[in-house]
This record gives sequence, structure tokens and C-alpha cells, in this order.
Amino acid sequence: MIKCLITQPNSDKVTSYLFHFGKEILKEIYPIKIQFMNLEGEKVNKNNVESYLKKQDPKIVLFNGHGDDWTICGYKDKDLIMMNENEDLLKEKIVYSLSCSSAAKLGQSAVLKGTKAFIGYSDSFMIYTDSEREATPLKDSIAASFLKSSNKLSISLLNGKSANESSEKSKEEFQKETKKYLTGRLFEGSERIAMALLWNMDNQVVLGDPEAKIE
Amino acid sequence: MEESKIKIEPELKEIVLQRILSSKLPSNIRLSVGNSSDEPMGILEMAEHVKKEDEIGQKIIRMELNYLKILKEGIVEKIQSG
Repeated sequence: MIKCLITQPNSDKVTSYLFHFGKEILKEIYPIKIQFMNLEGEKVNKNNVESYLKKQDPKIVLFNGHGDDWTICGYKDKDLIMMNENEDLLKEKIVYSLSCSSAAKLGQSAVLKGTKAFIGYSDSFMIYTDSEREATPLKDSIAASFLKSSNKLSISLLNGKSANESSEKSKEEFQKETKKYLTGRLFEGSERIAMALLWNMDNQVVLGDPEAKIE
Repeated sequence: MEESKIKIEPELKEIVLQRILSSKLPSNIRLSVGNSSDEPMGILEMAEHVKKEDEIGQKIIRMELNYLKILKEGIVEKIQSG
């Protein structure tokens, strides 16, 4: 059995979208038994995350939330993992961080301190949403193009694929979704959505061992 | 901690601005750049950030320039035909 920690702060519009789409990952059927530790809302705080990382030793950690070059955030953007403070807690783990820029510096530092693989974004994660669908995020097909592409990565890791294979699957999905919006096929101006999808695809990076996978 | 500001040529900034302002993206389709703004942005707000060249504006400019580079390299055509 593999343990997996997921953080879902759900404290603003963007993290609410990540929360709803992130739940789809839990509904999948995996070939290996996965014990999910799903931290939601205000439970996504530094104490809880540090405690779970130390005591439960999950093999996979999926962070959803805001961040920057040096930090992954939790509920109401409070710090969870900070460079040169507690990234050593990610040692021996495979991490996917769906948060802005955390692969730029924090991810690199985590890998130097023993994280098997850190997959994340080297710059801001951009997302278009439909304001008419905010109350029902899963019905927002624009947001789905972004977040289902991201989910592919988590699902692939949990299916036992390597960090690199999982990132490639996610990038294939970003590319497939991009195609829908090019040249204003769906509606005028949709090229801007393609632009953001390609931006995320280009900024998704695998740090550490590209062959890392759950055994 | 603040990211250092990169220098953007005024001509490039103007191209980006005009591309944004001429976009006919529906007003209900809005952009979020991490937690940089409380509410997702429409076209006019994006243009304002680009004009000011603040942190969000800089990111939008870089995204746009990245797309133009991809277009130039023919990658978009490959995606369309793939």
C-alpha cells in the first residue's frame, strides 16, 4: 500500500477550482492500493503537513495551492513548505506541486536535499475560468482544459508511471486541449486560452530522478 | 520576496498591449495568475497590468512573447496538424 498526501486549501476562487478538480484524482481506480491523506481547507497548515510527512511517510505528495519560487502555500496562503526551512521533509518522496513557480528554486533545493523527484512549474500557473461557472467548477469546460491536464500527471504517478512519463502524459493533454482553442475555433479570442495552456506546458518541469516511480 | 523586474522593450510591450486590446475574448472568460489578484481578470484588467508593467503585467507580457516565439518556431502549426 502506498500513502499519498494531498493538500487542498480551498480558500479562494483559484484554490476552489483546484479543490474540486483535485477530488477527481481520488475517484480513480488504481492498480496499487493507495491510502489518501486528503487535507482540506484550514487543515492545510504547516503543523498538519509537517506532522503527516514525519509520521506517515507518504511516498507521493500532491500539493495544490498558491506558491512562489521559494514557497508552497496552504490555507489562506500561509506557508507550508519553505526553502531552507523544511523542504528536507520531502526527502525520498515524489512530489507534484500544482502551485506557481515552486519548481524554480524550492523544488531544486528539495531535490538537493533528497526528494526523489519534484515536478512543478518554473513560473506562474495561469488559468482561465468561466465566471458563469464559478458555482459549479466541474462544469467549467475552460478550467477543465487546464486542470484535467494537470490531473493527468497525478493520476499517472499513482498508476505507477515514472515522473517523466507522467509529465509527458500531462503535456500531451495540455497540447490536445490547446488545439481546441487555436485560431479561435471555439469562440473569438480563444487563442488567449491556448496561449496560457502552452505557457503552463512549457513551464512544467521534472527535477531529480526522471525515472522515479512508486514501487 | 519580490521577483526582479525584467526589462521589456517598449515596442514589444505595445505589440502585446494591442494584441490584448484587439482580442474578442468573451467577458465571462477570465484569467487568474496564481494569487496575484483577488478576482480573475478580464481583457481590460489584463491590459491595465501590462500598461503599468507591474508583476502581473510582466507575466502576461512574457506569456504573450512565449506564444509569439512558439508561433515563429512553427510549433503551433505542428499542434494543429498533429
